[in-house]
Amino acid sequence: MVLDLIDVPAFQRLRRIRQLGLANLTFPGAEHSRWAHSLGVFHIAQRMLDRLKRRGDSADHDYSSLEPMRKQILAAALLHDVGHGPFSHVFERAAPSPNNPPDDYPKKHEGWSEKIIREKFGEVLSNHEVDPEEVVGLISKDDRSNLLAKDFISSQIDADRMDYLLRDSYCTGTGYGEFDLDWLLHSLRVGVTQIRGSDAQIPRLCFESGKAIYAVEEYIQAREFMYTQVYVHKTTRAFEALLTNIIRLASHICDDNPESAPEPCPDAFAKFLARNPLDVDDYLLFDDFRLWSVIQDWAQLNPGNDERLTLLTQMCRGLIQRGRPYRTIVLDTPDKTTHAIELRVAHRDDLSGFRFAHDTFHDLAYKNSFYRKSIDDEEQEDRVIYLIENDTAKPAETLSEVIDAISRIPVHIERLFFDNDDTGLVAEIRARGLIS
Amino acid sequence: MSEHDELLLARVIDACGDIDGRVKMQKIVYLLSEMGFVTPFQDFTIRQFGPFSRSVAYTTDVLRDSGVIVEDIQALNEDAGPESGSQYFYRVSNELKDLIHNNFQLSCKRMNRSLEEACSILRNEDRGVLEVAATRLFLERRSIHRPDSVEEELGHMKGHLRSYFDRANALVEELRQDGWLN
Repeated sequence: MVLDLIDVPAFQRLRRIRQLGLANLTFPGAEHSRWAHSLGVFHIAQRMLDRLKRRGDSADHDYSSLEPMRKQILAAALLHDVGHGPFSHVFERAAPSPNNPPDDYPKKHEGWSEKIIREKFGEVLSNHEVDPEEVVGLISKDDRSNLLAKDFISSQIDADRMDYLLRDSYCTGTGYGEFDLDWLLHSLRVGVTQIRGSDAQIPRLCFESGKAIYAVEEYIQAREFMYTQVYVHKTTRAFEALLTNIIRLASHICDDNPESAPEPCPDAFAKFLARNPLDVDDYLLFDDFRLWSVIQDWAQLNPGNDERLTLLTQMCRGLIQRGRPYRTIVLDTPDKTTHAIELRVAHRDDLSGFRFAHDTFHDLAYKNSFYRKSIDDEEQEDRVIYLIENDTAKPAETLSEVIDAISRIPVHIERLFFDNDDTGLVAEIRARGLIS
Repeated sequence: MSEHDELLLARVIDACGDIDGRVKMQKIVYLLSEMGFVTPFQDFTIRQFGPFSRSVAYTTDVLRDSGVIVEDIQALNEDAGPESGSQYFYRVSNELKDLIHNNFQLSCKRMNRSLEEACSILRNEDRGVLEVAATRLFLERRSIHRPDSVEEELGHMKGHLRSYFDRANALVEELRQDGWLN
């Protein structure tokens, strides 16, 4: 089954999508693809299943309920990223909202993954007696059934995170993302848990506390460090802001006239820029290679007297030639954020609005079981990491002060990126006291 | 979401004056989208308290940590400590109130009516009323169930809020009669 899935063109497309978007402009080794990552996730999921199988069944460790889901879990591990667009998460942020999309139009890459699995992998999966809907259910963030099987694909210690932390750390040459995968897998087991406010006994993936607690701490710290040191690196984010502005400006040009996409432009891309909903075949034409090709073409445009095309051409050259990145200001007080929002308002309708970006990253390296501790607890985190102590599964934060501390402090990084060659803009930013 | 979208949530909070709680905020944003306001938050799914958008939840965190909106927290029971739960209140920061109010508009595609007018209808309703009304509309609109089964499904999902049913039904009916809902 796995080899048949790998041979599907929609899976081979992942060879042409970088795992870390534009991070290779900062970290020379970050050339790895979603394709390699997907194989890695499959491999780790397989090791997790094999470890649990070797442990066998016992009174509080029920592997038998997992065995019928083995093929579905492995397929979901392999296919979980097939919906990623070019440059991974960057494309998602840059994409213009389509006009009048159908109700089931995907909002994010997970939605595209579900659609693509149904349309492009359904036949292969069915030939191997796997229901595509079961695979989609394991990937879907909104499907809360079968939490044990979902733990492998979509939890806080799933095969996806384990692979990307190690792979990204290795390929960027940073040591931050390393943790003891072998020891974590060794201490893996199935335990019975209880969700807060419910009597239901739910089997979940757990780790033996005595063996794994320090490895789990290391893993969560690795995620925290990778966020701040790699995933939100200012140079990478600055180039991502430039790419976002290129797509925004091209789409803005099309807003005036849907037929006016800067030429040359592939049909599916022109459709996208003109805010027309895409179908799966259109979407699958999008990969890093295709987008680089368009940007390369636009960098060679003769813009004549057109100010918008002139700026577009300059920005594309800046990206293609890896010019100097946008200058960065860290927005670490509400006052600075206010200035950034005022700038956005002031330049909503002029070209300078495409020469800066107000960039915000916000996440928690670990979400504890009291995530959003209030009566408004609408999305209670049901994917905490469980450690087994004295035969009882307990949320990791209740046994580790390190994990508890990390779960209380979000990573919130806010910056203003701007083109230092726009003298008017620079003067305005200086007048606001954001630079000296 | 694209540029400026996160500030549209601040604009909704501004139009409401303030909002007591995240559940109420979620329901108001959902009902506004049903009332024809073009919001960027379209990822609603049914959760424990009715229609819920992950984007609204995430954007609330971002706006709070950026200082664009202010989150005030009051313990529900001071003596029992934080585990007893808290009530959250949201408002736009004083520094950005005028800017948000004057520069970010949510257009209503159904008729030329203002966001303030819509929010004045919703903001004073009890959270339970909004939860039942929003769930009813979600069940009706998404065609998850046959029309004749909506009542049964609503009773099943929101039976614990039965005391709010009459007011929620009246609210939906009023919105229909006033042309806010199809």
